[in-house]
Amino acid sequence: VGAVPHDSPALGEFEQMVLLAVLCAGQGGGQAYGVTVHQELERRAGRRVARGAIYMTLDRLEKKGLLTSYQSEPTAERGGRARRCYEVTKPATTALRASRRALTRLWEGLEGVK
Amino acid sequence: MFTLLHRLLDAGLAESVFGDLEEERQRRARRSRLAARLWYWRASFAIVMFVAFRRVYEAVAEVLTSRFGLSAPGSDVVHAVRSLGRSPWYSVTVVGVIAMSMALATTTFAIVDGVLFKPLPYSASSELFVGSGGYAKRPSETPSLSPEEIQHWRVAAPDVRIGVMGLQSTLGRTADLEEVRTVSVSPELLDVLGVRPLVGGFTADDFTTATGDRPALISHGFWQRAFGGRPDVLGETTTLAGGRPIRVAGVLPRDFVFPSTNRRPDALVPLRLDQPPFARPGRAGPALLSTIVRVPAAVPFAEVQTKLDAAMQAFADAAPPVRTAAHGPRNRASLRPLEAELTRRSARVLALVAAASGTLVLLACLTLAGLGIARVEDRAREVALRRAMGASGWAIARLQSVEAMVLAVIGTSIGVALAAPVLTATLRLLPDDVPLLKEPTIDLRVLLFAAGAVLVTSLLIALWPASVAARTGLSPLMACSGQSQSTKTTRGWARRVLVAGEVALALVLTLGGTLVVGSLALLWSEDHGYSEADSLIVEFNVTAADRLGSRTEIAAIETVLGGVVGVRATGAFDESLLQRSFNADVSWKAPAGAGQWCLVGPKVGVETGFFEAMGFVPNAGRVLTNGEVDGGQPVVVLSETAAKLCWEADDPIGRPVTMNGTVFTIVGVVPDVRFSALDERAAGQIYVPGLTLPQRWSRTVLVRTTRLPDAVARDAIAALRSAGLIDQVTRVMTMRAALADSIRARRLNAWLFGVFAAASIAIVAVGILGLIAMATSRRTREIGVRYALGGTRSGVVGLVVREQVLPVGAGLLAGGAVAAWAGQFIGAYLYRFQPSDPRLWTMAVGAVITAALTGTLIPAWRASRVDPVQALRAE
Repeated sequence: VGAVPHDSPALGEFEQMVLLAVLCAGQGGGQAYGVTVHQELERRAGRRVARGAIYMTLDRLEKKGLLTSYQSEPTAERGGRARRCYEVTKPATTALRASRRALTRLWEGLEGVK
Repeated sequence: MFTLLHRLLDAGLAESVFGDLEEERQRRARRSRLAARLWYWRASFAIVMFVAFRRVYEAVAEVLTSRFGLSAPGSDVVHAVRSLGRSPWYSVTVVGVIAMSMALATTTFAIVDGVLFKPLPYSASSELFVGSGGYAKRPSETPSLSPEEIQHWRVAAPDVRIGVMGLQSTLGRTADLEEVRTVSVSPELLDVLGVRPLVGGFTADDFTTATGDRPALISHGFWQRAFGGRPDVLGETTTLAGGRPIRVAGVLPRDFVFPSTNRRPDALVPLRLDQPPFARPGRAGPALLSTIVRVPAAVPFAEVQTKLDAAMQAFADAAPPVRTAAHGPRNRASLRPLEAELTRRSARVLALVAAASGTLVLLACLTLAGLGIARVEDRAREVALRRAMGASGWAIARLQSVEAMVLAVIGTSIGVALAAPVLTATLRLLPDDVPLLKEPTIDLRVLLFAAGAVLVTSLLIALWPASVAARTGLSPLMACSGQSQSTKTTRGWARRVLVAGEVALALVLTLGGTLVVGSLALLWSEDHGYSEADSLIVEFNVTAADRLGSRTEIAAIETVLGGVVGVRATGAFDESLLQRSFNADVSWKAPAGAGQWCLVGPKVGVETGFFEAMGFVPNAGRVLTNGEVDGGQPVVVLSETAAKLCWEADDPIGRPVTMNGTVFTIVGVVPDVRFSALDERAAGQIYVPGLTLPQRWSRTVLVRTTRLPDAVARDAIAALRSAGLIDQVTRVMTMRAALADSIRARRLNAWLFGVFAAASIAIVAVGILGLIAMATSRRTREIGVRYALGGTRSGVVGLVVREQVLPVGAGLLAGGAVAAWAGQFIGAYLYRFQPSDPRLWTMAVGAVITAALTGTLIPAWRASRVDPVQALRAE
């Protein structure tokens, strides 16, 4: 844990999962917005997540400066409403990497644990 | 939903959330549009609820952190919510029981508060009394006063102020035939009550000068209904159907309550003592007035009473009445506190309703306490683990209490939300003569009551389980059967006591409901003499001065009604129907050979077609022919009760009856009809040709229909309107509605007590089910062993059921004893039944036993499905 830089914002478990889901959804030219983030979380993490929790977390992460958002063009299939698409910011990727490093170190030597 | 989310999130995010939902809905709609629509609403609701909960939580956490410096605000609540989420059936059951009982308790409080608890909306209301006459020999009789007697009061006691109220009458009808009722009042009345009109008011001229339009102080409700609450209504003249024009002289305040238990008037008009029926040259005016007397606190009440008694005695001595009642002249003054007088009629039944409501809440609390203990036992290992990790007994108890509080808050919130429609349904049944000191509504007082109820309920359902939880030691961790035998035995007994208590309370409530609902069912099932499925009542005002003239008007109305599609027959008569009143013309001479108690009800003057419209099939003899009715022949038909009262077993046909000096011949006997109200005792009627009663005229047409009377009623109103006769019509109502309306008080009682009974049955079933289910789930190993030793399914079911026989039996005995004692209070509200009626007792006991058996058999059956191998391996 000591390897996590002190200036990295503290991330909760769910916040980390949402940030990672945003990264996954945005890969290959895709857009990370509510629907795709929810799908990624369910598909990759195998966890049922309340949609309200996702939107609240996205909003909170944006306010913390870990995400930025932009509006897409409104489409008919969305009832004329725009998408709010998210992108992960530099501080977020730094925090995610730091968190991963910390976990990796903690796991070192514990591979035999069942 | 969208608006709500807009308030909770920023606009852009809310837009995109609903865009996401719409996108997914359209994708799902390819498979099933209905399922997609349902998903959309469910998902929207879930998001809004989640966001709302988080916002509230964050706000509370912010306050607790900044104001009180708490480091982990609400963590107990969050833990409790998660823990309850893991036991959905327990949570739903508890919330359901609280919601049901709170909805009923809140509704009851809203009504009782409006009638009993709210202080009278008059200044210094303890100084107000209802004044009337009295008799030295019979103090219970309190007749009205004549204008001269009131004048004597004013002279005798100048330091008290007296407001006078005259008769209640109908001003006319609104366009949709709503009756506009009015009471005439003296100029002092509002001043005596300490009430000022919202706008306007009577002037001195209004009480002395006759004008074409009648000045009226209209009620706030009537102002809203008839004038849309327009502020420029003052001075406006309006003509009501079937009445004189009225001029709006003012509007009464919203919370004005007329100080009488009569039906609430829509307007007050000036009392004119210089006009008929009060002005009678050379004679004292009729005793038709009632008074409100304000006795200032500084004036001794006994002194006022003495002065008024002396005034009454002096008046009786100076002008002895022509006819004196059997118990002497009216020579005393009666002053009764206004507050007691207004609530006298409804106080007792509302107190009973409040007691029933309290019993239901107590039953709910017992049930919830039982479920709470069972849950603590179910979580014994978890609680022991917490203790092992250092949690104090207080911390454990606090967790348990927070859980109870969360459930109580959710349940009560749902209960209060449900209370609004329940209250609306209840108010529809509230009789007109219940004086409401405020309109029952879910207001701040009711919400405060609900908040108090949450607190009390939480305490009641948390204390016992919390103390059990706090005393839980480490033994559950040591072994599966680690609890001591004595602890198990104690809790087993506690469970039995709870079951017995629940059954006892449920029996009391169920019996109350069964008695009152059974009375109503009996009332409806009895033959009341009408064919309510195809009859219609049309009442009207006659403008002609005599009976012959009135017949022309009746004929015009009947011709119009006869032209309406679906009308089979019409017949007029001179009684008002099912209005809890009847004309008082009972004068007739008992014929020779009649029974000693030959007293019958009123004479009914009938017109052509009456017997056909009523559908009378004579018990003996025949009905009057149209020729006899048209010609005013001296022939009469008796009702069954009249014949029985006068001639007992003898045949009355052909016997003479003398009325107003004319000898009539009895030609037939017909079944009894309840003219006044559905629940009246048959008094017996005499049907005579209308022309033989020239001083009266018909005012009701009975219509028999060949199609649904509701539809015919609508068409009849339209036809009367297009014929220009609607102004004369005062009531068009189906017979079924009129019958139901005449017993509104009984229907209200049946509704309230019936709902309490049904709720108590549901709660006791759920309570026993929860207790037994949790108890049997902890006996999985025991049941497995029984199977292993050759036990059978029926044996296991029998074992569980047998264990409940003792507590249920004890509960029935205790409940039966309480119900037998409480029956005396409800006896006055029963129809024909006695509180000890064995049939209704059997039904009530049967219902409670069925509920208890249902609550026992379901978990017993589930327990019997245990796989013995799995059970033993799991342990």
